[in-house]
Amino acid sequence: MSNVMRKFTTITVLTITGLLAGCSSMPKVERVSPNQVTDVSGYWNDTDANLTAQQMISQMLGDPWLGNFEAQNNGKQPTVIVGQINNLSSEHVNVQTFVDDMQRELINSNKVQFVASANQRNEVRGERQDQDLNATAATRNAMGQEIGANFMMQGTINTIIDAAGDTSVKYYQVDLRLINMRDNVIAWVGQKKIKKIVTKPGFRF
Amino acid sequence: MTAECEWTVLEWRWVVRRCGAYFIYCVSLLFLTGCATYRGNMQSVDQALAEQQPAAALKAFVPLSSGRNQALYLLNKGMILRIQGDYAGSVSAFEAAKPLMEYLEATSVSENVGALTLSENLRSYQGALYERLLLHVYQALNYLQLGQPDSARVEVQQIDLLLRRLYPDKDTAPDGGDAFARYFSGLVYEDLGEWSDAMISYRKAYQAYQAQGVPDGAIPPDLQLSLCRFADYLGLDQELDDYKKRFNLDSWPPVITDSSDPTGQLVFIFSNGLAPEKVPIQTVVLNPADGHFFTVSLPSMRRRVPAVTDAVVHVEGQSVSTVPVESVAADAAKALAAEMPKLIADEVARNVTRQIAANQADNKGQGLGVLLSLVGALADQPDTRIWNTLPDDIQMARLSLPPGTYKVTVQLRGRYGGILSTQKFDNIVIQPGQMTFATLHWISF
Repeated sequence: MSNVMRKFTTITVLTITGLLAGCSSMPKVERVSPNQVTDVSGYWNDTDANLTAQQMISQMLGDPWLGNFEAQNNGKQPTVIVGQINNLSSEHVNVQTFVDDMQRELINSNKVQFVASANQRNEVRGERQDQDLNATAATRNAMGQEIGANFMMQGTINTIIDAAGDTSVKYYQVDLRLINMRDNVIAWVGQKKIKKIVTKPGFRF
Repeated sequence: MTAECEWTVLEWRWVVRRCGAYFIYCVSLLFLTGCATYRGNMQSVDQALAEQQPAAALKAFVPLSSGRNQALYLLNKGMILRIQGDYAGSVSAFEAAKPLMEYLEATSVSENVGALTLSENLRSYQGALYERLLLHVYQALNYLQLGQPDSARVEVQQIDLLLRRLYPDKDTAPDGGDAFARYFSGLVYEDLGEWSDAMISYRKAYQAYQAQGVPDGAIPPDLQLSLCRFADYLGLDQELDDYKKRFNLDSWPPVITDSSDPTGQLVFIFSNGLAPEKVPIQTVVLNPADGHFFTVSLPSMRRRVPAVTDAVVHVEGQSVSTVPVESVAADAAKALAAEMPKLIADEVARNVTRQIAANQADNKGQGLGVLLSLVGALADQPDTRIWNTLPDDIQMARLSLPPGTYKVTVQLRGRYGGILSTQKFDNIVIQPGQMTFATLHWISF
C-alpha cells in the first residue's frame, strides 16, 4: 500500500472513530463540594448565586437600616416580605436560589424575620381555612393573626455584555432594595457586581 | 446461497490483506451514508403534520435524535410541542438546543476532515442565523403564553446579543433573517413598558426590512404606526418627520402611558405552513480516461407553498387580516445562497481526495480505483438538513380591545379567497394596558 493511501486510510479511520465516539459515550459523574467554583459555560451559575447571597447578607446585616429600625421600635426585629425580583438580564437566572440563601442566613441571624410571600401565603391561608372547619379548637389557628411586613424586598438583575467573536465580557449587577411599607422610603440598597471574561474555544475535536 | 457465492476463509483473508484499507473505506462510507438519510425520515414527519397530527410527527422524529442531528431534533421537537400546545415542553427542548448550538459554533477538526473527504453530512447540524433567531422568537412566545413576560424579555435580549456578537460592526445581518426578530423584540419591550428599547428595536427592524429590499410601502403597517408613535412619544422630531413622509402617515394611536387606560391589545401571530425543504441534486459523472467517478452533489431549496394565504381574525365585531412579517422561505433561500460557495469548494475538495485515493488504488489492483471512486461518489450525499417544522411565513394582526374575556374566530383563507378552515379560540383574556399573544401554526399544502 502506498504511503499516500496509508495516510488517507488512517485519517479516514480516525475521523470515523472520532465521529462515532461522540455517539456512544456514557455520562461521567463526579461529586464535588457545593462550595467548589465550577464555571462551565460562563453563564450565571451556583457560584454567582452564592457570591450574591453572601454579599447581600453581609450588607443587609451590616448596614445602618437595621440599627435604625430597632432603635425606633424598641429593639423589635424588622419583618420583611420578598416581592418581585425582576430579571432584566440576557440569561434565564434562577433568582429563587440566592433569595432562599439570604432568607435562611438572615432568619438564622435572629435579626430579621420574613413573612411568607404572596405566592406562598395562599396555600397557608387555604390550610388555615381548612383548619377552621376540621381542626380541634385547641389546635386551630385563627384567621386574621398574620404579621404585616415592615419592608418589602424588591430587586433587579441586569447584565451588560460586550461580545465579539469567541470572547465576551459579562457584567452582572444585582440590586436589592428594602422599601418601607409605611411610607415607601427606600431604607436599604444592596448591590453585587460580577464581571467575567469568557473565551470560548475556537476548535473542538 | 449457491456454491459459487461461498467464499472460503482463506479467500476472505486474501481480500482483507490485499484491499483491507479500501474495503474498510467503502464499508465505512456506506455505513455513514446510511446514518445520514435525514430527508427520508422527514417524509413521514411531514405527512403527520399535514394531517394535523403533531403527536405522530413527534414520534417519527425520534430516530433522528442522533449525535450530529441532536440540535435539529431538539428544534423540531420544540416546534412540534408548541403546535401541540405544550409550551412548557417546548421551552425545555429549545433551552436544550441553545447551548448545544453555541457549542457547535466552534470548528470541529474531525467533522471538517470528514466533510472534506467523505460527506457534508458528517458535520453536526448548527443551524442558519435565521433559524437561531426564530428559535428565540418562538421561545419568547412560549414564555409569553406561559405568562412569563420577563423570561420573554431574556429571549429578546439574546436575539440582540447574538446579532451583536456575530456582526459587531453592522446594524443588520448581511444575509437577512433579523427583521422580524427585531420587530418582535419591539413588541415584547412595548408590552413591558420599556419604550426606549421598543423604539430601538422597531428602528432596527425597519433597517433590516430595508436591507432586505422591502420598499417603504410594504413595511408591515403596524410597524409603520409603531415607529411614528414612539418617535412622537420620545420627542424624536426629525425621525418622526422622516417616517411621516416615508409612510405617508398623519396620525397614529398614542403610546399608552396611563396605567388607568382600559385598552388592552391582542397580538395574533400566525405561522403559515412549513419551511422549505432542501432537496439533493446529485450527478455522478464517469471519466472515460480512467474509469473513475466524479460527483456534483449539492442541496437545492424547494419551497412548500402553503394553501393558506392569510388569516382573518374576528373578535367583537372587528375583523382584521393578518399581514406578512417574515418570509422563512426567502431567508432559507438567502442562507443557502450565501453558503453555496463554501459547499462547492468542499465538493471540489472531496472529488480531488477521492481521485487521489482512486489513483493509488488503481496501482494496487485493477478495478479497485473504480470501485472506490464509485462508492465514494454514491456516499457523497448533499446535506439536506434544515429546520423544516418552521413555517413558510409568519403573519401578524394586532387589535385594540377593552379588558375582558373573548371568543376569537380565525378564518384561514386560500388563494382564491375561499375559507379553508375556521379555528376558534375561547377564553382569550385581555388585560388593561397589556398585550395578549395568541398563536396558530397551520400546516397546509
